[in-house]
Amino acid sequence: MLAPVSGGQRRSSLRPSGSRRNLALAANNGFLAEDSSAMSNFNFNDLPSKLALRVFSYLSHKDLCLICQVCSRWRELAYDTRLWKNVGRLRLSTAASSREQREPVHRAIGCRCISTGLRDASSCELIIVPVLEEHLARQCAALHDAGLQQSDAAARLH
Amino acid sequence: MPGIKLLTVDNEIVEVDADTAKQSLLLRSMLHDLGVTEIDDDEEAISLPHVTAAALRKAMAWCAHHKDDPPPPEDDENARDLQPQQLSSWDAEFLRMDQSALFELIQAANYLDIRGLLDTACKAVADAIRGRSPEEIRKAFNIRCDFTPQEEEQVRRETEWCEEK
Repeated sequence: MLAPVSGGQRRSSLRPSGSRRNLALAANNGFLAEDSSAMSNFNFNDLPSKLALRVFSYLSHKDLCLICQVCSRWRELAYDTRLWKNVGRLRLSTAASSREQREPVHRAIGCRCISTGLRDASSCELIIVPVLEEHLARQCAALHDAGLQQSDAAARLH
Repeated sequence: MPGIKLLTVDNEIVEVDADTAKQSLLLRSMLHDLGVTEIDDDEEAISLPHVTAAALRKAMAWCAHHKDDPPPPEDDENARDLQPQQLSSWDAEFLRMDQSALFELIQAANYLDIRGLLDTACKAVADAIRGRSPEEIRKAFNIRCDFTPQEEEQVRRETEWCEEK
């Protein structure tokens, strides 16, 4: 099992996992020309985390969910709390409607919102579920400092 | 405007226009500190230990084209617009290069502190990621999947709920 990724923390062992062979995007994308003869060999995963996060900051949450599946480094980066500040925009898809399905979701959200300050928590319906409450309590002793007690969601939570 | 000499990491001396170079906040402060005002054959080139000549030329070409742009707004990650924005056609054409060169350019823009170029290039990479399946992304970016099948399934389950309002 993968350990849950807590926001902002990154493993020190994060290094590029793919080969460093240069590979241009297919020409028919109309983007990133097909220069396969280039001498250099810089892969996306050679970018420092700060810059990779900058790229990811232009993606929607839905895109971030998809790119989590690319490789472990992308998963780690895509879960970075800085990318999840507006978590209130999230909603459960209809696919995850049963309690069983929701639990991992709540854990996943919990992982992400803990240290973001929960800026938009009042519009995040997920916040009121017990499993998340437990998760929050375990992960974040300084909930009050995060300003949570001021939100509607927190009022229901306590 | 006089030119200045820059020594790149691959040991090339690149001469650039000082005005253009000043769009790089790093170079601007270096030039200010050094009091460099004009090119002088005896003047030592300014050493840039993290930038290749190719990336430097590219970055300077971008700066020359964008020399009349207003300065980019304050870098506030909270305020960053999540809506995909179209690159200008000039920028899109400018960034048509192999991925490796593009990533080097991103590094260079970051080191040289050229915000506009950094944002533009990062957007271009995000555009190449957006809307693709994980497998398509791996192929496009030559990334090896290091998940076990069980981990992959777990990550998929963790993220299948997400839906934008």
